[in-house]
Amino acid sequence: MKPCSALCVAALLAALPASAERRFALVIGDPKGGAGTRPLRYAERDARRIHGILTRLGGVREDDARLLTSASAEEVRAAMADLDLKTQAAKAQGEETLLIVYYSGHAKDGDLRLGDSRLPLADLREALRNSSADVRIGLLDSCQSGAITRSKGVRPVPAFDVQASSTRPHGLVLIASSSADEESQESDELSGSFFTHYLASGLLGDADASGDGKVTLAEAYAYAYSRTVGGTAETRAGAQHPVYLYDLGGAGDVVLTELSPARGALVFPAGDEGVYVVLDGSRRAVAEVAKSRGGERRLALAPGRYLVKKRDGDVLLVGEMHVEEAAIEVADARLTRRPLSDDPQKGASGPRWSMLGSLGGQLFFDQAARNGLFPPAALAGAELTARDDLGHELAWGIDFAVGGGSANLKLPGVTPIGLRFVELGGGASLWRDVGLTDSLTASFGARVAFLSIWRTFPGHPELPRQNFFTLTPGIETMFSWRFGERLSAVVRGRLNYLFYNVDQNQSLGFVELAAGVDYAFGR
Amino acid sequence: MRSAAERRLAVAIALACACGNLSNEDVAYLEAIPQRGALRLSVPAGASGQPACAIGPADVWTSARTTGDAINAGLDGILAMVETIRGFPPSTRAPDQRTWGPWPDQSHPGVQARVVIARELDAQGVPWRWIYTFAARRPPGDWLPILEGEFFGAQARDGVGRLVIHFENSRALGIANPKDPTFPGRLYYDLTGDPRTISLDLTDNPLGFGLVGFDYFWAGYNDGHGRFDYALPPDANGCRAEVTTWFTAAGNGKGALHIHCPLVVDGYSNICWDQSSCLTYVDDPFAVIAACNGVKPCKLGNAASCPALP
Repeated sequence: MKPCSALCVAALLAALPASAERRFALVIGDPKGGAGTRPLRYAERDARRIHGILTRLGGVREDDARLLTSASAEEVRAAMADLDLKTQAAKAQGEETLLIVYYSGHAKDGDLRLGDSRLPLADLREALRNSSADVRIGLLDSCQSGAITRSKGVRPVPAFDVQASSTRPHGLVLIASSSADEESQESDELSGSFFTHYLASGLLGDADASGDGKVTLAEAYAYAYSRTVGGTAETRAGAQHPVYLYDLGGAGDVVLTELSPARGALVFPAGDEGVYVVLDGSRRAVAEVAKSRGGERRLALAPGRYLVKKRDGDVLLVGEMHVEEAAIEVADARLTRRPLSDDPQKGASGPRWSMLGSLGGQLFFDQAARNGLFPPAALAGAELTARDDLGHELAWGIDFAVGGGSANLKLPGVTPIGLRFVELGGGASLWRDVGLTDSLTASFGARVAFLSIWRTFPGHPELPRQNFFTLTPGIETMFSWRFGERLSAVVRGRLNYLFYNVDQNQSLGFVELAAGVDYAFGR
Repeated sequence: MRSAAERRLAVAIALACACGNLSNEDVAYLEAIPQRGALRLSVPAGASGQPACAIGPADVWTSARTTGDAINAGLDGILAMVETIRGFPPSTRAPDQRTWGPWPDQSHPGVQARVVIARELDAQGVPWRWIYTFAARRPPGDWLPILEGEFFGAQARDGVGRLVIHFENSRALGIANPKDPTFPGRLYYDLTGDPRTISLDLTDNPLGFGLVGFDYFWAGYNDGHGRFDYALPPDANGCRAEVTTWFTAAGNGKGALHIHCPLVVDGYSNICWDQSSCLTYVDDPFAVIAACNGVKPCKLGNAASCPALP
């Protein structure tokens, strides 16, 4: 039984639709908290999830939403000021307005830690309090974030006390993922923080206790509270208790997401019950549905392929769903029974392995070096990569490539000498992935490699075969676009240094460009 | 167990490692060394099979081929020494000089060999002169030049050069072949145009390479015809013939024999032969040609059968 039956009735009476007002959102995710903190693994992903939900289901237009990842405090302030100007303009046109500020990241000693910069919680609270929006909602998912509610001396409680009224709400609501003396916890299994994961699951539909196709603020909080407390009860850090400050004037609840307009959805039929976990193409949890028998539950998901799993005793029920425009029913009877050892999410918290196959070319900058010594070469390569192994969004890889080509060696006064060459290269790379969108990732890193080259002179038996071996440090950048469950298209550029010392000591630079397809194993 | 210092040293060496023989300059040096194929006297073999000749076989022309083969074999032996360096990279590289060796001469235990090639560049940086020295020694003895060469141009296949083969030194070191001459031999070659010429001066080397002392000369034209000057060993009468031959690509040709006899006989004989190396014309006042059977003066065949060669 969910803990909010009373408030759900009130919400049914009082909730105002998301589409009746102009909505603005500032969504912030920052894994780094400066000195004394360890990078969070999922802060950015949390922010992207909430941003996606608010713009898809929450009535926030794309151009009214700001997503800031790894931004400074000044940039946050500037974004808030910018949204406030837009809010004022909307109000000047007679529109009701709502502002949602979400933050996932570090907080400590009363400050939000945005990299090396700090934004005092009190400043954020005042900024929200002074915002021009009629309704201001702050959602903070960070350690000790409950401090933002201290002024009211609130205590963690499972649900709002929402008053039924015919007037529109106005005022401030602050929700923090943990109380002022608690840590907010992340989960590798959930690929996110507990609080945001359950908040997102609730907003996608599992919090719709009333079954009216709308998830209100009260429903979302009640759901996130109970699931977060339950989900963290047995963790090493102990139970995590979300808190809130509710200062809405007028009355009524606020609808945060509307499920009905969503084009695609998974529908869990009334006859089934249990905890369903929905995974995306990377086998990372997207949402959970904790369902009891008797009511249908709808999860509004973006189009795409998903895997639904449910533990049923000693077996797993697993089904792959392709969400498009229509709703898809997820009935237990349609799911495949598998042993627990075949859990598709297994290992999701460990390194993510993939293999990249690529084709490309190599070009030395120095024209003299390109004359015979290191002519432009075609290369085919493979790279084994482990992501999120050494740290969040850090990846390492080992690669090998073979290639070669033919060219003419031009020496002064000598008839051009045809040559063929073969190259073998390989190296180890370390880089950081930066998610640009859900499917587009940029990577930047460094690489130490070796390069071996052999060349022969066909038609010139008098000339012996030559070879060269050296180490070549360099930097690299990569862009990958995920176009399938396991497949990504990758373009990569490397800038390398090479020390040549046979004819003369010479420092050379060369570039390697490649395009390929990356195949993700197991996830 | 390696110490930390050793491991650091190993890492530093690995990081600094840039090794191999990938060198454009080495290619330039190797291209300046004459190849055996480039310095080869080409004398047409003519038609295969030996038919019955109406006048008689052109033994003089047959001698041209055997002489050419002997010279080619001698040159091969000389250039093989130089070409040893193609098998391994230079030991030291200076801006305009390469040195190979010293390395132990596998064919001659106790002997060390060394090759030094230097070059000179013109104002545009194009090599115009190459000087090379192949030397050997028996330690602790001094280095003795076995072969000294000079080459003008950028690539040996179409340049001008000369070689001095110090047979006297190879004999002194005990690395000479039994048939090698005993005095310095000089080779000149010009591969710049048409004809290509090779000259082997064995004037001071009687029976070097099994040949009589003579300044041998060969010229080969692109269309296959050519000229070959050589000498025949003295006959039973002590007469020696110096032969100038002209030949076509097909193998027929004509020759002029300058006859030197101990009894003050000195004059010229002329012969022509066909593609089967059969005499077609003989004008031999001294009857040194076997087909004359000693009858002087000797005139056989038809002069019109002689090819139109200089």
